[in-house]
Amino acid sequence: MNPVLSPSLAFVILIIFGLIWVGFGYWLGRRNKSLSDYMLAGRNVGLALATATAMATWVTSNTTMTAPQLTYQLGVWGMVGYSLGAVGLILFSPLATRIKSLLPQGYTSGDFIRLRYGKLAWRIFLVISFCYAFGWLVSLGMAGGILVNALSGIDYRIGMSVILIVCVGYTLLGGLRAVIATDFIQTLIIVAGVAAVAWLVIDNVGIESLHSSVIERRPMLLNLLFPASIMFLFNNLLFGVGEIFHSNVWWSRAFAFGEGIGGKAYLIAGFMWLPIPIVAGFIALAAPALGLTVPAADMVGPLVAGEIMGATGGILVFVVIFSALASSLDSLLAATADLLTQDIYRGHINPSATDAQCQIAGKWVILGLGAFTWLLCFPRITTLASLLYFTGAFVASAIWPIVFGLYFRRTSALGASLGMIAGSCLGLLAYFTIGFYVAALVSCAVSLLTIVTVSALRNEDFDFQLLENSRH
Amino acid sequence: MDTAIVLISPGAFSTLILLALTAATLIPLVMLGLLIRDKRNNRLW
Repeated sequence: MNPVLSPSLAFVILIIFGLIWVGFGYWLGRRNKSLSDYMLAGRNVGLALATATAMATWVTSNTTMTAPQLTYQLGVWGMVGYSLGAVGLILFSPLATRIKSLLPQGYTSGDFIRLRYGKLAWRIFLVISFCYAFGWLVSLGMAGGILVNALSGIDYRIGMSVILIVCVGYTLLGGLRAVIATDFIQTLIIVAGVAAVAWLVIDNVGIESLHSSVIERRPMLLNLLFPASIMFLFNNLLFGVGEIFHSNVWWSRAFAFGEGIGGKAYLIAGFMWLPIPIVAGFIALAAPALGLTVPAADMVGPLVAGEIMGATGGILVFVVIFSALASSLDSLLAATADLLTQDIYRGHINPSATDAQCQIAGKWVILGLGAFTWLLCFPRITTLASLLYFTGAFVASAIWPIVFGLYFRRTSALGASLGMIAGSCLGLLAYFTIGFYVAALVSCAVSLLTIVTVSALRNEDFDFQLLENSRH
Repeated sequence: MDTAIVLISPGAFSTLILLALTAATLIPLVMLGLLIRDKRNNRLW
């Protein structure tokens, strides 16, 4: 397909936004005095910024590109199914409150697993976390290069490198404070941009004529009994819950939000995220009415915007997608760097490291992580990006160890370890023998069965007070 | 194999889209409102 934007204009946009984000990150970073300031934005983030960062991080390039694609392929259930990703945020709301009250001085999800279940479960959990984090990092880095190339014709390697350098730059300079503040602005850009394109679709095509032209040309898209899309709906729901419950991206925010803020922020963010995939997906349904030929389903959103708004639509889509990519990439860089610093550097390499040493190590880790991601993304091996889909089996196995561990003192440490191992293995087996849509489901069910059985047999009794009293 | 088809009606479709779009349009206003409130109460960070 033809790019919707000229390479020179796209490059100017990338440079201007890049400079703004990095400059903003530097300005915010001047307030960081301690490790808690750098890693957790001072642990007192207010409701507005907390809600925006939870929402923006969950709006990735997938939301703005894949939601239209799925709607174009799976119809109404595609967009509704995608929007159920919000359930993960909503269900994490009470967990965030619990996490903050149990570990007011915690840094990472690894801290909780180590203190609650011991070293074996901690190491298994770290393997799961890093598999997921690297899968997501690589998929985001590659998506950045591919999207910039598709939208503007800029070389994949240049686009991917610029996006990574910008995100590493402001995360390094400003820590989580920069990530959260940029997330707020990026949320406004993404939501306003997507809504503007959707209103223009209604203005140009009209909802009723759009409905009738889809019925005429692709009626299955409006079929409420489309089996493939109903299966997708459940798989997406479970994968999303697993991703959010285990990932340090969400845990570090629970630690960073002020007292009494986390629960409210995740709840509001979930409900505000809910309509975004529906609106983004709706844009795709205009393609038949506009008579557009769509060469690749994942480009349907930009194509419709370009058709309706011309060059302005191209610029708008480019800025929205750049913001969506940056808002997730920065969060993932910061949260994975925290996990590497706290759980690998302080947890395994230098247990006596001071906070000051960890803060310096954390900066090197962000740089190293950026370089590592760049190296993996550079050859553009697309199979690497699809690794993220494998991780559905891993992350779903961690759901019950997290939930039971947070609420029930009789949950067995051995049961949690075995649950994560058995769930991951059988989930992967189901992925290869049955299909992608059952991996998370099997993993979650096996993990549940294992942890409940072992806990019933071992009768352990954990004292939650130990969490609060422990050094993190 | 015949597959059952139940198409979403124009009214239900319009309601779904307009509800989602109205909510999405209000989100930036809600976010800015929250930000101003937090700023006034000195509770941004």
